[in-house]
Amino acid sequence: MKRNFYIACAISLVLGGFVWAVAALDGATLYSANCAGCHGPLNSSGKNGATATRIHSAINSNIGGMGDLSLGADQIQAIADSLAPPTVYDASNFTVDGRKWQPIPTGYLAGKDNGPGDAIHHPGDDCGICHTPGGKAGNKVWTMSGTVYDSRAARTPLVGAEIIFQNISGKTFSMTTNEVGNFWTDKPFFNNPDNTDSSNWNYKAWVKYGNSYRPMVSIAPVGGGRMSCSMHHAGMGSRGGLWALATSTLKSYPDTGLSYRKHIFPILRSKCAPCHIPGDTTARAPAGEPPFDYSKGLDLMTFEGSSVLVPAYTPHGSGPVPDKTWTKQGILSVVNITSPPSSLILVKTLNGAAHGGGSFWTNQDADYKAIRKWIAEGARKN
Amino acid sequence: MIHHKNIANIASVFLAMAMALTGCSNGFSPYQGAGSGAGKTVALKGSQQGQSGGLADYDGDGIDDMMVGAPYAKDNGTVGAVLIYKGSANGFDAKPTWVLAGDDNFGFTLANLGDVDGDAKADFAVGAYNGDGTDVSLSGSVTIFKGGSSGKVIAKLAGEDALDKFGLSMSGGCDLNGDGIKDIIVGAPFNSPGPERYQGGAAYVYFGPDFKETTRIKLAASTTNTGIGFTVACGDLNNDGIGDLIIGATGKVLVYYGKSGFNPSIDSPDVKITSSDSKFGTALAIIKDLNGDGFDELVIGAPQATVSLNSVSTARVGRVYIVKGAAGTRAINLAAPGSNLLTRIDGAGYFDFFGSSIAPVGDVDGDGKPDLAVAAINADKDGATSAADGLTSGKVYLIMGKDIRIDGSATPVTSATAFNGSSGNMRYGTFMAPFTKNGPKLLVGAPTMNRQSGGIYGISLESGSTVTTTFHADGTDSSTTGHDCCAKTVSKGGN
Repeated sequence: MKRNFYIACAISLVLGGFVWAVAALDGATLYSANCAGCHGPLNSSGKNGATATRIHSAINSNIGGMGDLSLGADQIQAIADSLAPPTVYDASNFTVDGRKWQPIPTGYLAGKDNGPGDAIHHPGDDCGICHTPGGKAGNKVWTMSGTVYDSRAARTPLVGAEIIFQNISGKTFSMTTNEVGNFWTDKPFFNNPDNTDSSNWNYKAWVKYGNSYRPMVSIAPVGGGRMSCSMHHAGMGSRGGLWALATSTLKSYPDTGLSYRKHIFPILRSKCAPCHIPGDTTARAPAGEPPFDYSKGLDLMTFEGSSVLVPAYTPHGSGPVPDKTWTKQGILSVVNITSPPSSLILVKTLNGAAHGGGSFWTNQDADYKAIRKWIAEGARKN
Repeated sequence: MIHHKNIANIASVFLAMAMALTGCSNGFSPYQGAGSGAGKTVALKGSQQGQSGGLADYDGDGIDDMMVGAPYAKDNGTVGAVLIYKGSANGFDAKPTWVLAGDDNFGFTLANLGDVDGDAKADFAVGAYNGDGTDVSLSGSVTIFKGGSSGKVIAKLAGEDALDKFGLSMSGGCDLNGDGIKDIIVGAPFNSPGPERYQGGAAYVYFGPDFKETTRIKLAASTTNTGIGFTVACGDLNNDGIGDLIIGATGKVLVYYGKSGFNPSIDSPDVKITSSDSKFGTALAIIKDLNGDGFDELVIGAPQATVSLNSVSTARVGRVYIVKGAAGTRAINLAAPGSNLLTRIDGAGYFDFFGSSIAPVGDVDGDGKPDLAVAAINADKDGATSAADGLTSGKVYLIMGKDIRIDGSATPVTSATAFNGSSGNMRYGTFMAPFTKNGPKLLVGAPTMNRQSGGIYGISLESGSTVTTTFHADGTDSSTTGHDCCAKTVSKGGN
């Protein structure tokens, strides 16, 4: 069924949800109505790359008669967004291989897509329950919204975190969390308001705080029906829980005598889940592409690894998946007792390393040093 | 470590910082009691006071004190607190008299356990879902405090593994093994009983009076029963004089009859109640016998149930079921419950979340039938059209036993008395705790009011009372509690 509104989803570390959202500010449409007469069609505009500040200045200075334009700041920003060049986008990024981690986009203003209002309510809830056409907040419909917490433990909401989305056209959306950890926007995310081409519904996401950032490992292919981010981003840190604050998992660690249960497993469960868990960890693949196992055969929620039979099921309306036993290795497969810093678990997670789950720490951070010490002490299940 | 602290309510984090620098007390008369934290402050901005609460005699003066959980209050490096307002004959202190804090997210849950150590004084427990144990970190914890002792700890319990969220739910006041001593039940909904049941959850029973880990029992998620630990409760449903364990599971509520040597298997409940309603089992409560058969009844909330309103199937209205107590094993499908269902009460509006919390309030009208409070935490204040004037305030319904049907038909919620939350988005009714002070009263939590700082309200349930609040406390000077908050009796003969 066609709908003249977009489907998107909300990200939350506690409870997420989806939002059926009316297109609020379509920069391309605004450009066509206000700019194309002089500057040509959007896809060949001579003003590609023009910033909102530059457009403001041109209007204020009545350049070329632009002083007659009556555009709000958010409309000008939407036009600037439509003129922005792709940042990280490469068509191959939105294939199965493209599910691999990509560097965080750059060249945009953090928080440029923050929505109106203050939204100091219901952190961690499913925003889409109210902020949906016909809902209690149907007059304030978001295309993306949610809550970010400091850690997967959901100890406290995170103020000032940045949530970054990039759609298949390379357009970047950035929001920042408010005093209760909420973020939201009413900016349209997708290129096909008629919802006719589901291949355009994909996007990537990152959560960033300072120099620490977490990518969403998979591409989110929303659409085709009701899709909720709470499928993964739910329940105070279930399978898809995210975190953004670059602080150590525990407030302190002993210099010696590190315990797997008391000191190491909290780090693993905070920072290595949701990817490295037992069972089926396939991400949905675009049509025609094989599924992608984002655990890479590594289960860090069990010391020894795991072997779990997952009965046949039919995922997301596609073909049936037969019975499968998922056998995964445990933490000892990624430690090197004779040379702890060479352990894969540390090498892959250092800032700057290529790791689908993002960069976690420097070699001076407390979590890193705790794991390194535990490995040096024999990597025991103690 | 749990410690007492002075409390200084502050308007902002910045003010908290200023206080820390200047040492000012922000106008409070802080408690100068013993405790390692004396002289510290907790910041209440964003603390969600009213997420939990209850009453127990903290200081041993024979009068129950009011306890309010503030799980996101900020201390010096920790998060979470319980604010205790000293009780008097006619009310409570206007500002918190004592503050307990310690493990992270301390105060997310709180329960009066009854007397668990045999000193004839009710004890209480506080949950901290990111608390620690002696040999485990971030597992979640529950601290059992000795009533009347000004903060002595009977036992501290902890989860098995990091991020299990042990203590996210808990219940007490029942003796499950028939030894005459009350026990405590704790849920850990993200415990992983095994790799094939990753985050399937678990519920634990610790037996009084010593609450040892070595003797506790665990009901872990199985392949057929998962989603364990979000909701736990207890009561005597089969009228054998021994408490029964009740736990919520995905799409089910499971009952295990208490007995000597209590150690049930998760897949062998004595009563299994199933429903397709969304969030079925989110709230559980036991009320006294309604239908005169001698058995107490089980009340189950399904706050996101789809309900037909004006012949339109409407999502997330919520409903409550009252299932009759009985002896023997039963499997009840609420789609065809037969005589097992006494009644169903549907919420009144879209997104109301009716049945989010349920509190038996005793027999407030003295007609011999149990009365019931049910919260709809997202219902609108009467007449509200925007969040500014009370949209999604939350509402508490007082449902009198005389109005509750027992023939299986639906009880109309319109027969209830509705207490409105005062402002938008406050989640009025997140927790409810009845007490008596010059008549029946009810504590009502509103943790997301005032930009998530939260607060609690007291309402009078006495017949003839108004539906406006009797008192309000949010740790600030705007609190309306006080030693005479509950002194006045209402005129009788109202509704």
